[in-house]
Amino acid sequence: MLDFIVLFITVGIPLSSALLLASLGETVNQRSGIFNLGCEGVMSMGAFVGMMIPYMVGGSGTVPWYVNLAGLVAAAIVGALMGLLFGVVVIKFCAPQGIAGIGMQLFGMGLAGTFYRHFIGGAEGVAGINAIHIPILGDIPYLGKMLFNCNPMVYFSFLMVPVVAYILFKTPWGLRVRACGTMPRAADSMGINVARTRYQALAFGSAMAGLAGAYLSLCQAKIFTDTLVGGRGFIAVALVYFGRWSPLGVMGGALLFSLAQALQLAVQAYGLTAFPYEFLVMLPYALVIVVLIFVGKSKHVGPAMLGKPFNREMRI
Amino acid sequence: MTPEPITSLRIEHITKRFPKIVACSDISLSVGKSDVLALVGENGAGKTTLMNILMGLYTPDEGKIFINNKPVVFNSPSDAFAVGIGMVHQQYMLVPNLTVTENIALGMNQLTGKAKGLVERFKRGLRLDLDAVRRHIVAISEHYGLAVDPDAYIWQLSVGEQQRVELVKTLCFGAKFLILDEPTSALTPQETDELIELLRRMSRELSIIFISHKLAEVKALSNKVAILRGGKLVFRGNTADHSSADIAALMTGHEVYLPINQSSKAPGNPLLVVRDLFVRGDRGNMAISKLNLTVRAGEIVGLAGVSGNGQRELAEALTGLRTIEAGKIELDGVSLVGKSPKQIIAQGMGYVPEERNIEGIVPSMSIKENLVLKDITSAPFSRLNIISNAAIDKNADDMRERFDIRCSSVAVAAGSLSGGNIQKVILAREISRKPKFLIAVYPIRGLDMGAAEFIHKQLLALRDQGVGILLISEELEEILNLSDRIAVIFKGNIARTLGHDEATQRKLGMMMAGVKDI
Repeated sequence: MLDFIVLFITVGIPLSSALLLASLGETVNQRSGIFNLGCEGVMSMGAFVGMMIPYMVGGSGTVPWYVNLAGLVAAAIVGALMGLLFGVVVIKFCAPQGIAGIGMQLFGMGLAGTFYRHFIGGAEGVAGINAIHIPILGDIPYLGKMLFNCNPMVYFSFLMVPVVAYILFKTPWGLRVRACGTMPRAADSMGINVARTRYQALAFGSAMAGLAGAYLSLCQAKIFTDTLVGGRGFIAVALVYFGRWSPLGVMGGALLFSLAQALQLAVQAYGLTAFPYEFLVMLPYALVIVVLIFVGKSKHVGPAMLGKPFNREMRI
Repeated sequence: MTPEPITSLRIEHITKRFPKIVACSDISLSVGKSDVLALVGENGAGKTTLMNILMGLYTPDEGKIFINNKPVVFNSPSDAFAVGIGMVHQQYMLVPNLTVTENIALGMNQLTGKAKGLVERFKRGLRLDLDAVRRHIVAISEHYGLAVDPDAYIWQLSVGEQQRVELVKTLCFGAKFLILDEPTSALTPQETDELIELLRRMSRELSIIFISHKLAEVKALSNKVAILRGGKLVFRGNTADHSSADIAALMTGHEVYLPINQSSKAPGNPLLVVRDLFVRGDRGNMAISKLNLTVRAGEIVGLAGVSGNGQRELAEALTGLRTIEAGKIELDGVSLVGKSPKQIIAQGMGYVPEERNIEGIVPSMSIKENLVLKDITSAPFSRLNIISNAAIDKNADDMRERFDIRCSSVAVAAGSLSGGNIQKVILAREISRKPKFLIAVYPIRGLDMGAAEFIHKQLLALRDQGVGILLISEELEEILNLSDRIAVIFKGNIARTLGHDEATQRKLGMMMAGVKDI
């Protein structure tokens, strides 16, 4: 039983990283008032770009660490650019954000798949970034295996929880972001450039989504496929609501979801056939829906003007 | 950063044109140190446009602004802030899910100068110094006697408290010259009194321009008055030299008198009977408990009270919008308990709701559609579920004439109208349905004198036709002018009912505050 629990936590924590990065980014987007449903598409592009750079340098073989790092940075930059593109559509041209987001998702996925077939083709993998063993801590029984033998990007993603919380709640920029998401008119009256703040938030949030995609292709699967992201972008958006726009809440959601997913994998690995695993495959998704029903609905927490374009001249 | 004190502000020959309309035409004004100028005029007279020019939100087409006899040009609100002019808008510019300190820090960062040097800027960007802002707030609020809790969230504060935050915010930005756009329009009478007292104290150190169309305030607070009508300055002078009636006449362009209920016609039989009513409020508390009330045919009963004492819940219970816990409501002998709003409307209930833009009309729909909202399913406006546009247009034209609805066309969105005209649309719809009973909640709140006069006349005419009216208001003058009897509501119960002759402002004010033995 203990082995089972250790296995399921060991598998679960790394699974949460992509969700965590993407939903932390989406939290910043939404705090500024932009609802980016295109997260999935941005993640796809991040996944492709992230693995393409190491692949171009060293094919499927191992490459120096800085090449992998270059892949991650490129994924973040491409993510940020896609965020700015989305920003032009929804901030400058005030397109309905939900619909534009669906467009962004299809665009990103299609583009990544096309580029992949054009530049790489076939089922080629990369060596990617591997888990590291932290000396001493990693040797602690059970705990070491669960917590101190992870991929560096897993540590990075959890480090981003306090970082994003600090940015949102302790810096002037974070204050501007929150004001723009709740009452852009008030921010405007105090000389804040609402559009610029929202572009900045989108660039930051989408860079995080790009990184989340690169985590999947470089650290988790070590290969790119069209369906690699597999709906995680949408789950990430749901987790933002789950976490009530707080980085800590989002982390809780990402962990809950990933652990539920790991439970299903562990059940299959142990061959516990008495229990229908199909049910467990469904469990994390059902769990998110159930939790969203019961999650607090206080209107005073989140960005009240989420999804609404801002235009100084518009009165009704 | 403290701008040098403003000893005089002068605007000369300001003209601002908008497409199809001249909002301000050749306006000249001057305000000196410690002056309080009341800028008075009806809705649409150009008051807010003029102040937006002073704040740098609009640029004037012609004319100049002088501060301390030096010409200035404002291109954005930051320019006006920089010389020490601050404005409190009619709709508060506060972010509800931030604290008072955070709200003020938001603007301080933008307005109080950029840090010098890259390192210093980087440091400031990395860490929000809320403690410094909080100290500043405490200093300002102590200096002016403006009590605010720097750590409260805006959504936790009442409207009056939010207004104090707005004032503190403006002062924190370094304002030496305050512009207040209808500062009392959302306040209760008590809050209004406090505000006037506060502004009077502040005027010793600051100059103030305030926009208003409540003449009592103008008299109480200002030493100078300027009256705008149709974009032109029609009068300026010292407040003390002119009576309220003079100012009202200049404001509207004709003699204004708010109509008074003088009819001696005896009321008829009991029409609306409420017995032992219990209704819950939004937070689950008992907002109305054991309330009894009778309104007879051809009678206006004024329900006086400070808002939040159960008025909203009572109105919603009577119209079927809120379920009742216990008790009896009868309209003309028919019980309304458990009936849907539709059934209650069919019984002859008319309703002029509190939130005219949200409950009274559908803002995005046209005026003509709003006028038939309650009758769209029946002839002549529709037959066999097919809408008859001819009937709707004809009805709209009739109503527009009869109720003096001022609009470019009845096909424009109702939400684009001014408050007074929206209220006329609502009243037109309710009155033309020939109701047996009408509930009017704050019917003239925020309206100018001309519109208020019109609406009061309509209510009195309705009363003379034998309709029973429940008039819910906080304005004692309105209640005293119109009501045959006055019921005072306090904490969800009728404290006492007075006849028209025994009621005075003073008596009602004390009863509204909960004093029992008078």
